[in-house]
Formats: sequence, structure tokens, C-alpha cells
Amino acid sequence: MVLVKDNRWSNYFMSHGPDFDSFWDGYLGRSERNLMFVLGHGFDPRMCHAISLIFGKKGKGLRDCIALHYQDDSKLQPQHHADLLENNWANLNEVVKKVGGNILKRGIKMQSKGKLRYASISAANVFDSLDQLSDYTDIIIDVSAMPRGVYFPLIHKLLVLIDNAQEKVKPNPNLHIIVWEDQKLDSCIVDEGLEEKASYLHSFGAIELETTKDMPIVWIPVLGEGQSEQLEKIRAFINPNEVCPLLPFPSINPRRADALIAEYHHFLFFGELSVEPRSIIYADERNPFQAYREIRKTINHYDRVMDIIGGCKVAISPISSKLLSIGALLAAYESRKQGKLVGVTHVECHDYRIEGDVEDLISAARGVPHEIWLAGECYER
Amino acid sequence: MMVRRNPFFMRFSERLGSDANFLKLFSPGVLDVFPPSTIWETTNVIRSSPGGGKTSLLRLFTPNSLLALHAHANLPPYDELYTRLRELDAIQDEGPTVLGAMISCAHDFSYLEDLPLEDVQKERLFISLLNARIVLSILRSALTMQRYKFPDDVKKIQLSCAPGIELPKGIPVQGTGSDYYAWARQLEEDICKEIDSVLPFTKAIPGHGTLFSLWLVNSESLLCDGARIAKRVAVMLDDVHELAPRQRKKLISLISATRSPTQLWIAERLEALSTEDWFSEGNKEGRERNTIYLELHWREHHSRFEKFAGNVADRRTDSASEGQITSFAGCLSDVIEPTEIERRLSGAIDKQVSRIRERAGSTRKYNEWISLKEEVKGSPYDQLVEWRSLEILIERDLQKRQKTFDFYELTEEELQANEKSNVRTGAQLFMNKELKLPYYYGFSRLCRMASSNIDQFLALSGNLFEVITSASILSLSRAVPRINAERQEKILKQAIDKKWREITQMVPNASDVRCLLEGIGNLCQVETYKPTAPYAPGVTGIAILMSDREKLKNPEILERNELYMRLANAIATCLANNLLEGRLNHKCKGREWMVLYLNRMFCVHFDLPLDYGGFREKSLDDLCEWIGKGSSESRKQETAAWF
Repeated sequence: MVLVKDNRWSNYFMSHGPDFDSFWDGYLGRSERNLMFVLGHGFDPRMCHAISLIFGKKGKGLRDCIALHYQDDSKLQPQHHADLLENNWANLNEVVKKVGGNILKRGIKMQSKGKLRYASISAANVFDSLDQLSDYTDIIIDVSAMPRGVYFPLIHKLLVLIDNAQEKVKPNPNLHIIVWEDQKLDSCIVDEGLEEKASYLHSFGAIELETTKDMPIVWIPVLGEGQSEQLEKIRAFINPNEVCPLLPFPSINPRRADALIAEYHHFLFFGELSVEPRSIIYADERNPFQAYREIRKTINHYDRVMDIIGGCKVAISPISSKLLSIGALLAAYESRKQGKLVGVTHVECHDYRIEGDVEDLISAARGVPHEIWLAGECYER
Repeated sequence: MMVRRNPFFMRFSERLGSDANFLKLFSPGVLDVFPPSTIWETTNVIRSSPGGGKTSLLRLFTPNSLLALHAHANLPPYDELYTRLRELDAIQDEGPTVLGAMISCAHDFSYLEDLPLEDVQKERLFISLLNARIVLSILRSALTMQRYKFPDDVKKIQLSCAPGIELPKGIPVQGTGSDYYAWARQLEEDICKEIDSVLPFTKAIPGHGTLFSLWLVNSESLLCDGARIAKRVAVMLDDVHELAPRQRKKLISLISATRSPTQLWIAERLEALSTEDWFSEGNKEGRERNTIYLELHWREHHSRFEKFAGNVADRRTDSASEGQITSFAGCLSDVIEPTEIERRLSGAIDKQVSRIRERAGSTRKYNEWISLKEEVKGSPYDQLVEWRSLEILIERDLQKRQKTFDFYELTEEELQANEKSNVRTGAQLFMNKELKLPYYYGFSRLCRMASSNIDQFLALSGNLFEVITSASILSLSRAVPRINAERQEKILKQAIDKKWREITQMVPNASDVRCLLEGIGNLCQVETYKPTAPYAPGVTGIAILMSDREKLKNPEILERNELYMRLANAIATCLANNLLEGRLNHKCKGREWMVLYLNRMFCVHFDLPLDYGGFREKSLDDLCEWIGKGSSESRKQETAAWF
């Protein structure tokens, strides 16, 4: 067994469900907290759940919000669920105004002139320095209504800014990530219009150099439902030498991992990849830090083993739930910081839509909020 | 370790594993695309749709492939390929004569456009990155050719720049591989780090104005242990379509401006709405470039494609079956066995004859034609084709504006004059559909379904191969399995229908693409199955005027007209993803057209013939109507009413 020493998040803080509520009660009730809540303005019905809950708590301090608006250059993309978008915006305004806060709109440009997917770059530029957030004690990023291409570079940039900040009179802000996990709703939101090829996410690329061309590549796909087309495109893009799929286990649905194996059995076991069962890694679907740990362990294992032939590259594909994807992000971030050639691949898509009865999905009281504390006071003591 | 089960699904050059395996499966027929006299004298530009085989062609000329081929020179199945490459002077008895270095343009280059820099700075960084990668790639290839290790043995390489070329500061005019490796490696790392960084651009990275690397790595001054490595050096740029438009344009201008001592090959995807000729100053085709359109080459020589595809399939079948099955085509029945369709043909001739007599009515006009058909001998199926042909001709005659007298009997000569082969093909199609007989079977039709794209051929064949393998395993005798016509059609239709359903997931502008394809497909069905079969054997595409094509390329027009913009995007997406096949400057009725044919596999989806030829002219407004309103159900109903 490979032990990973010095993992930044060996000890971590997270809460979910009823603990989420009690955590924020205590956290905001104990002392004055100036909160900057960052969320994506999308059609996802969960967009305002977390901010309503947190801003509704008693406590003193600023309660401001940055809403990321997704701007496509082409006005021709059919916009699904425009009514949900409008409702979400109205709800958000109500929630923030109720506590006397301000909403700042920031545009996320989805495409640049050369038909490139620009969203990741745009997201990384939302914050230029911590000075923009000097008034706030806590930055909360709610990724529930954000696509991967936005929240990955956004969180990455904040971690870099926090880690690079010098000692100052004022401490660095706390960084919280919120995920409102609703598996049923997640399974109903489908990608539409996939990009033809996979790519590395901005700020998690630059591993395919001429000098690294001969290095073997290890692929860690974090599996989720309904992603067979994406998996095939990523496989064609990176052409892996070894594959270590990550399955969510344990899981609320104890058969979920089995169902994923059944869905991808041909791709994984009987096609070209012929993954060995012992290469499969498992992580609790509700614990991103466990996913982070398992992925780090895998990366370090292959790094050590392949060192004799000059090292290896690792490509992580977080095409699963947001919780596990956060775990993948943390693993990639830390490994890259240590100089390892670790990238994050995915397939951009042009649009999303909800399949099934939208009214039914919105009205049912469902979903579990998760709070993930990534940086700040609890790590400094 | 990866184990391969169905070799037909190993469709990408990069995934074919070892070089020996790649060469074993590589069919030499594709080398016909290179003109032997000029292959090494000019820039080779290779264009095709996705999966056309560009990357495989480039990989063939890399040191690993050539060395592996040299090692297996006289052994089948490598001997044929060795002979062909020898004829092209890529390899001789002493070893490879060309040092090929393959560089993919898919990684990082286009991201330079997103940096917060002035355009001129981005351009210079693009050239810098290209220079760095050319040098690194050549160093790797050179060491591989000499069987040394990269980068450990770079010091064994010597380079010197051709005289008269100005190099940027810090780059020696001559030196060892170590000097250039250190420089190029640092430059590549610095540029890629900056592209990928979340923090602002901090390091001052030198930008270049010329592709001086091509003068640095020329064959005369590229030495290893003091000796010349190869007769010629070829830098092969793959996926050039992945460059940003401005970068492609810059690359063209750099190549056009001067003639370097190092040969350059370009491989890119064909996109009819955005690709123009590479060289604008005069006609340099032949003198300074060979432009090879792979699918066009195969379409113009379909029999060669069939032979090439057959060879590709046989090699894979042979490899997977360990020599037990040597012919893939032999496993596919190319006739409909009488027993398969006996039940369906029973009574069909009588029904057909009754229908004709009813349609002819009381007129004597067709009596001689009908008598001639009654005398036809042959299998029930052949007889039915004859009667169905007759029905089409009678329908055509009935619908003629200029009628003849009822007492006039049409003669045998008139029947022979009208009954051309395309009418028979149309009749066969109609009859197969009416009687639910298989039409899409046999190796020849499978090759047609591939739309001259080897990747598509392998995808379709892979599904058939799965069944062949199963049959082979289950068979008690050692006989070579043979799939009957009906089963072939079922397998192919299932695979193609699955592909059709996946369109919405596969491509950008998915709903517009779907509407466009459905509109084209439904129109083709309506036109093909008209009782008179006016466009026999059928219609499989549409055409727009070349002047309309220009409108779809005009940004100002597109900005003003949303539907035109959507149409342009949809057509571009279809062409880029091989869902439509485009042909430019087709002359018809005194005008020039851009013809858009359905990918042949979608012809199967719409029960259309696989031949090219028949198309219907359409205006941009007609096409916009499809996109604006969606696919027309009424057209489908109209077709159904005829059967």
C-alpha cells in the first residue's frame, strides 16, 4: 500500500445534510463574517438553495454576491429553460436584497472569435488578486449551477492566489465550496452538442509537450452515468497506456457502482482498454476528500513505478458528480504544484437541458447540501 | 496491459500499438495518392474528412515505422508495403532514406490566441512554439533513426544552420544537439506554462518572425556522430485545421514566402466552407505543392477504394483469426439466397402483374411491353425486377404531357431505349422496399456505405466482424462463417440508426444539424420513391449555387441574417463531422453548384440508394425553412402513402 505523506488535505473539514445547517448557524452566529457568495446564473433549480439558507442565518457582516452570467457569442444557441433562468434571477435578487447585500454581475465569455471554448479562461479571470476580496472574511463558491469548465479554473485561481499571498496584516479569506447534491436532478441534466474533441481544461493542461511525448499516460476517469460519448472522445484524445477508473462506492444507492460497471462494461473490459479489475479505485460518492486521497495515491504510485522509464503523465477526467469532481480538482492541483505532469481532460458541450418533468424536479424537496472548507482558519491553526 | 479483441475497432493510427502491428494492418494501396515524381520535391498537403487516414499516412514515414519495416522487409505481409515505399524512395536496402518528424498542431497552439497580448506578439509566440517543436521533434527522430535514446543522447547530434539565415539571439549557428535541445525545451515549457497559467503573463518570452528551424534541421547539416543521417528530412504537421485561423494563414504565408531546404508536409481536415487554396499567388499546384484530397481520390477511383478497403479488412481479419479467416469479403454473402425470400416472393409476381394491368387500364398501348415481360425467364426475384421496371416506365409514360393515341402500341425497341440500367437499379430499390427484401448487403455495398472514408468503413465492418467472430466460435465445423444478406442489413441498419440517434450528442449546433439532415433525407426519400422514378436510381443530396455559398461565407450577411448564420454553422458542422459530403463547382444546367450529398450511411437510414449523381437544387431560403421549422412530417407521410 502506498501511503501518501504530506497531503495538504489529509485533515479536512466538510459537513453535509443537517450538519451543514448547524455548521453555518454556529459559524455565522459566533462572530461577524463578511461573506462573498459566488454562484453561476443558470437554469439549475438549485441555484438559490444554498445562498437562501446561508444568507438567511442570523449574524452580522456583509452579504454580497457575484453572479456569473454565461455569455455566448453566438446568439443562435437555443436557450433551454429561459423561464427557469428568469425565476432564478428573481429569487436571487430577493434573497440578497432581503439582507441588504449587493449583487455584482460578472460575464463569463463562453467562446472567443476563433470558435474556441473560452469559458475556462474567462472563469480564471473573474478574480485577479485577493485585493478584490479584501473586504471579505469568507468566499463561498456554490458550484451547483456551474459547469465544470467554469468552476475548475475559478477554484484553481483562488487557491493559487491564497497560496501565493504573502504574510499580511490581514489574514487570507476562508475558501468554502458548496455543492447541493441531487443525484436525480443531476441525472436529468444532459449535455447537448458535444465538442468534437476532448481537451485539457485551462490551467490543468500543458502536459502534452514534445519533450513528454514518449511518456506513458495514465488515465483516471471518475465515472458518472450517461457519459459514454464523452469517455470515447477523451480516450481517443489522450490514448492512454493505463486506465484506473474511479467508481463511487460507497454510495447512497448501493448498486450504483455495479450499474456504472454494467453501463461501461464493454468500453472498459471488452473493448480496447481491457481494464483490470484491480485497477479500479473507489471513493465515497459524498466525500470529495476521499476521492482526492485515492487519486493522489494512484498518481504517486504510478509516478514512483514509472520513474525508472522517465516518469509518466496522468490525465484525470472528472465526468461524475460535482463532489467527486471537486476531489479530482484538489488532487490535480496539489500534484501539479509538486511538479507532476497531471492534467484534467473533459469534453466541452455547447448547451445543457433538463430531461423529464421539469416541474416535478423543481417542486420535490430533495438534495443534500455539502460544505467543503478548502482554505483558511481551520487549516492555519 | 491492453488486449485487442476486435481489430476493426482499432481505428486510430495512435492506437495501433506497436509499429510492427501498425505496419501489418497498413494497406499499401493508399500510397497511390502520392505522385512518385514529385513526392519529395514539393510541399505535400493531405486533406480529408475525419478518419480519412491522414495521420496513418504521416506515421508511415516516421523513423519507428520505417525501421520496423526495414527489419521485416522480405516477410509477408510487410513485403508489399516495403516494395511500394522502395518505389517511392522512402526506404532502400541500406535503410530509410527519409527522416520524418511528425508534429501535432492540436495541442496548445490555438490557445495562444486567448492570451491577453497584442496580435503581433501572439503571432511571434506561435512561430516560436513551432520552431521549438520542430527542433525537438527532429532531434527525437534523428536519435530514433540512429537507435539512440532521446533525450539522453542528444549530444551525438550536430546541427548547423544553412548560410544566409539570420537566427535570433542566443541560438548558435552551429552546435550539438544538447545546445539546441536545452534551448527548444526551455522555450516550449515557458510558452506552454504561460498559456496554461491562471496568473498574468510574467516571463519575457522571445517571439520569432521566421521558421528558421527548417533551415537548421536540413538534411545536409543534420549529422549524427559526424555522419549524415538521411537523404532528406520531412517535417510533417498533423491536424493543421486545429490552428486558429490567423495562425493557419500565417503558416501559409511563411511557407509561401521562401522555399526551405527541409520538406514540409501538411495534414488537415477538409472544410468546404472555410478552406481556400493554400497559395494565393499564382497557381503553384504541382510546382510547389501536391494537394491530395483522400476521399476525392477514392471516389474517383472507387474500385481502388474497394480494393484498398478489402486489403485493410483482410489484414485485420487475418490478424484476429490467426490465419483461420483470410478474406473478410468472403464472410459476407453478396446474393440473396432464394430460401431467405421465398415466402415474400410467393404471389408477388401475380400481384405486380395485376397492378400493372390495372394501371394500364383498357389501353392497348402497353400490350407488347407486357407480353415481352411475360416471356422473361429467370429466378422469381429477377422476374420481379423486370416487372417493376416496366411499372416505372408505364408510370412515366402515363404522366407525359404529350400523349399518344391509345391504339398505338409501344414497341420492343422503345422499351429497350427507355429501360436503362438506372431504371433497373431504381426498380430493385422500390421492390426491395415493398417486399422488405434486403438491399444493403455484400462487400461492394459496404464499401459504398463507407463514403470513401476508411474510418467509417472500419466502424461498419467492425459490427459485422463481431458476428463473424461469434459464428466462428460457435461453429462446430471449421467452415468459414458467412453472414446472409438479411442479417448483414439488420446489423448495419442497427449500427447506423444508433449513429443517427447520437447526432444530437455528437456535434455542436445539434438541433440545426439534425433538422438539416432530416430535411435533406426526407426530400431525397420523396424524390427517389416517386412512382416515375424520375431520378433513378435515386436522389441522395441537394445542391446550392456557388454564389449562395459565397453568401454563407460572408460575415456581414451572416450578421444580418440569423437563419443564414445557423444554416452556415450547420453545414460547416456537417462537413467537419463527415455527415455531409461536399463537392464544389459542380456544373449543371449552365450554372455552378456546391453539392451536398448525405453521408452514404445515412442513405441507409433513409432507405436510399448508395450511388452518387442524383441531387435536387435548393435555395438558401428552402434550407432555412427546414432549420426554422424543423423536419417536415408531411413529407414522410407523403412517402408512406405510396407503399
